[in-house]
Amino acid sequence: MRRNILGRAVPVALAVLAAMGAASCSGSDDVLFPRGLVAAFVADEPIQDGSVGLLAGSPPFVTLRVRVAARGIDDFFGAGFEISYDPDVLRLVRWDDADSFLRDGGAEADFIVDAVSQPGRVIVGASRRQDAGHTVPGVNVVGTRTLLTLVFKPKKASKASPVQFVTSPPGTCEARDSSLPPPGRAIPVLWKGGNVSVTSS
Amino acid sequence: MQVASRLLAVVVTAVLSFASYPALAAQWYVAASGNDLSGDGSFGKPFRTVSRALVSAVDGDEVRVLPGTYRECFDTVGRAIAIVADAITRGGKPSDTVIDGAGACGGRFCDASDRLGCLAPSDCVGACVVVRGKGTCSNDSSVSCSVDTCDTTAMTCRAHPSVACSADSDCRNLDCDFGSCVPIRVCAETPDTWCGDDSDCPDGVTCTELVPGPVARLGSGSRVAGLALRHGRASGVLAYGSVAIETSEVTENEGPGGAGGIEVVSLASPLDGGLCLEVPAISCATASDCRVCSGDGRTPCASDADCADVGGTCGPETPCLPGRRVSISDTVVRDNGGDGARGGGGIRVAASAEAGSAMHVELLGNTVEDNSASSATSSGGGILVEAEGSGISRVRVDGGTVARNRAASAGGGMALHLSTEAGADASASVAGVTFDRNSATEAGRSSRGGGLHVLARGAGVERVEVSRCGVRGNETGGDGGGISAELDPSGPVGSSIALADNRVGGNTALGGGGGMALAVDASIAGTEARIEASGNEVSGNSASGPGGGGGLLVRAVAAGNAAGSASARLSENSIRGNFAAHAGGGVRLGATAESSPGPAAPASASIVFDHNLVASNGPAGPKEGLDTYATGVLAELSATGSASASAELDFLTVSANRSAKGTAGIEFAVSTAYDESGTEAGTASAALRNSIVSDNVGVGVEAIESPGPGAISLTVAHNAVHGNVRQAGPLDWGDEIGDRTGTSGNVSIDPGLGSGFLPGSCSASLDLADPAAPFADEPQPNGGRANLGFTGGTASAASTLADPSGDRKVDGRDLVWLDSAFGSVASDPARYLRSADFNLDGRVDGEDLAYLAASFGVVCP
Repeated sequence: MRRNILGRAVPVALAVLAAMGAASCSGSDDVLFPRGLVAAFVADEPIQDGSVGLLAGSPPFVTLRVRVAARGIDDFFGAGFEISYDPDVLRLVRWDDADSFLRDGGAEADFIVDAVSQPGRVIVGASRRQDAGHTVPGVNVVGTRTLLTLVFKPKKASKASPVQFVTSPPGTCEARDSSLPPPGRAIPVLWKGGNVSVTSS
Repeated sequence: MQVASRLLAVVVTAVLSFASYPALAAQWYVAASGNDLSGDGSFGKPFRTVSRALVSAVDGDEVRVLPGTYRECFDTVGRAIAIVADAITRGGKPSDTVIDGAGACGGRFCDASDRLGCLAPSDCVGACVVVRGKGTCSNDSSVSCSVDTCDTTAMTCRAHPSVACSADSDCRNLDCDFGSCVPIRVCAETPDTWCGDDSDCPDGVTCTELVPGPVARLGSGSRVAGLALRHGRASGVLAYGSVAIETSEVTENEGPGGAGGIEVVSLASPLDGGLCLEVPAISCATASDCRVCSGDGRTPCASDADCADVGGTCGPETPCLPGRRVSISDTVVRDNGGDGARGGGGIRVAASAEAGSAMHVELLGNTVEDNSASSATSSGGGILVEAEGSGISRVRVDGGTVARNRAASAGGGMALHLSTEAGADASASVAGVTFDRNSATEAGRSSRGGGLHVLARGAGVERVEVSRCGVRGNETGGDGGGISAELDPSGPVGSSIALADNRVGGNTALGGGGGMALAVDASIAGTEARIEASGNEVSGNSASGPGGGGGLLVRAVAAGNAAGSASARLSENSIRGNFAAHAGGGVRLGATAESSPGPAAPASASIVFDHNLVASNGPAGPKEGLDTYATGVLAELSATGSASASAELDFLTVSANRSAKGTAGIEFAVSTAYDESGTEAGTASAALRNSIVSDNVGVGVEAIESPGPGAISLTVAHNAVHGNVRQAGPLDWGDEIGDRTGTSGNVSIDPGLGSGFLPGSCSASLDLADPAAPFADEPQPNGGRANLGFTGGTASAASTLADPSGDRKVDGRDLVWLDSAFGSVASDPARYLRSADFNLDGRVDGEDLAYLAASFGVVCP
């Protein structure tokens, strides 16, 4: 069953989308997202087993999709993490959890994304939802699977603007398994980021 | 003779017209172009004066006055007649229809003038003011004058050769000297004919002094609407019984020995007609006449069908009691002066109800400005309402402005005095009134209540409520710059004064209680009296006298032989930015209880001070730096004999107060003593609980327990005392009280107060109150325990951080923690995660998830 918890990013995303919708009349979109900019994401390195990394979700385009993907992790029940980016270069406009592996087997899952509290930082919670009988297992992630996808818009040109998981202080990014007692055990995970380049088309 | 016959003809005409329409009240017209002799009071042939119309009018009639100025005084005593300005019914204003009593309602005039009114001889000697070659008299601008000079050869004024002079100054203002100030005299039977002596009157008619009177003297059942009433000499309006004054202007009147603008004396008795107790505008014979529609609360009804237009249903029967109603509404009362011993510069209503009857007083939406009550003992510069008797009294003052009035003694703006007899049931409310820049100063330290003075001291049950008023910029020479409220009942039980949701700012007391001074005294056997203040904002006031209490001064006293019980409760008030030159910059509380030897029940005086914010108060005035102490809260307790005195301070935030020396947060001063027999000593108990005392410049908490024979109890528990600094260095706890940190739940933590001294969800003061303190009103998640400080335990409290991982930030990890235990219950400890069950309902579920989502992203410093 698909279920999202709509966090603080939702009104922001809606506001941005509304502004975009009105742009053809007012031209205000040119201010938020100058025409002619395209963005591309390049991961720092190929994602390995035991990692959660950021991957390009689309070819260079005016809308940049960045996949948050996991690879080779057993009993993945949920994760909380933060991603930093340059708010002068990018703006998070929405996210997409439709293809998240957390819903494997029809499990309910919750996603909360906050891009408002701290400029330049996306705070994410993504977790399967346990039930009263504790029958919901974690997901054995085989290969590279999508946890959720973040959708950015470029705001200005930049050659290599980092988009990275925040790893300090330790524990800021953390994945957990489904073991008892709650909240399960922390899973050792490597968190891998990348860079965004924004150029004029 | 001719006049008399014409009058008779008119009267006959009027009577005939009534005979033709017996069921209808007659309408009599008055116009400035009318004629009292040839007119018949019809619209086409109006009278010239209201007085003439009143000759023809009978009970129930209406005198309709067309626009113009009428120099007269009128009288409806003994009759119930409405005098209505035609203009006001057509969108006009009161000044379109002026009844001017100058020279017609008695008084004095300058005998060499054309009716120039005066009060003193100096009023008759004006100056010739020449502007651009044109001179007019300063005391009568309608008179031209020229500056004469002295011919020093002839030694007479050049333009006034009969006047001897020695210099120009002797001739300067001759045209403006109007003689002596003498009482107005009139020829008998023709009061508009002024005279000096009998020779000025027709043969056989004497010249007599015109007795000063009001412009309008109203009998019971009369009504005035839309008139401007000026220059009355025994008040502008003097009324008796049931009267209504609506949408009028009462200005520039004087009331020697009485009220200046309006004086109403009304006595309700069982012989009066019935009025609905809850809706006194409705006359009634039985309680069934007092059913009203719930939609508007005033439309009479017999069934729900009658309420179709106003909505709601037809309510239940309510009591119908014989009584009287005084109503003054939407009226401007300005520039009047009275010197009656009791007061009421603008309005005085003296109301009394006999047993078995009800007296209703309603003052609604009036503007009462620049009036004065000048007698040394007078109260109520703008308004004085007095309620007495042994029946039911209902006083309602709602809306309007009371500004720049002056009283010598009490209540610069308004005084409300209840002094009923045993068996009486009196209640009064003052709501939504603005009291602005009034003063009560002339009586010095014995004056009180710059804006409003409330006094309830009768033997009946008396209840007063003052709510939603704005009280600003008022001044008194004694206590209570904004409001002074005194409850001193002589009856047994049930009297109270409550002040709620008022904004009291920028007032000054030369005594104590810059914003409000509240006193409750139960010094008569068996009395119980209670005074309450809640939800008031008291800011920017000052008290410069020894009384202290820049914002608030409270005294609860039960002293004397077999005294009773006096209590004060002050809750949810904000007391900020006040100043005192002596003690208690913010608040000074005093509870004094004394019992004499004997078998009677011991006296008690108690104060509860809870859920208040006391912040940013400080010292001021000439004694700053010398005597000012306890700039936050000073609580003083004194108990003698078998009596007990107590002060409970609970859920307070006392912060950012500044003291030149000593305590800036909270100071207790507690003492006990033996009674005269030397056998019994008093009991005093003080408590400070669940409070935040932080960031004050001065000692945080201090207690001075004077050595005495009685029992003293001081409880200090579950408080956060932190960051208080005096000049010598950090000092949270005063020497006398000792450091209580770590005992009885007291902590020294930074409460992390934010804007408005409110703790945020990151505050360390959350969930630290006494575990036994109520917390259910706090919004979820509330942690199952009340917060410290003034919002603790209330709906305004900060929510507990939804942070199951306990790392002081709400992020994705917390979601995983919660979801991992989702659906679990407390009875299954292997799966249950208590830290994720924010609302502590024993289940981790969607509500908890919602709380987490609501605070997602919060990071505590």
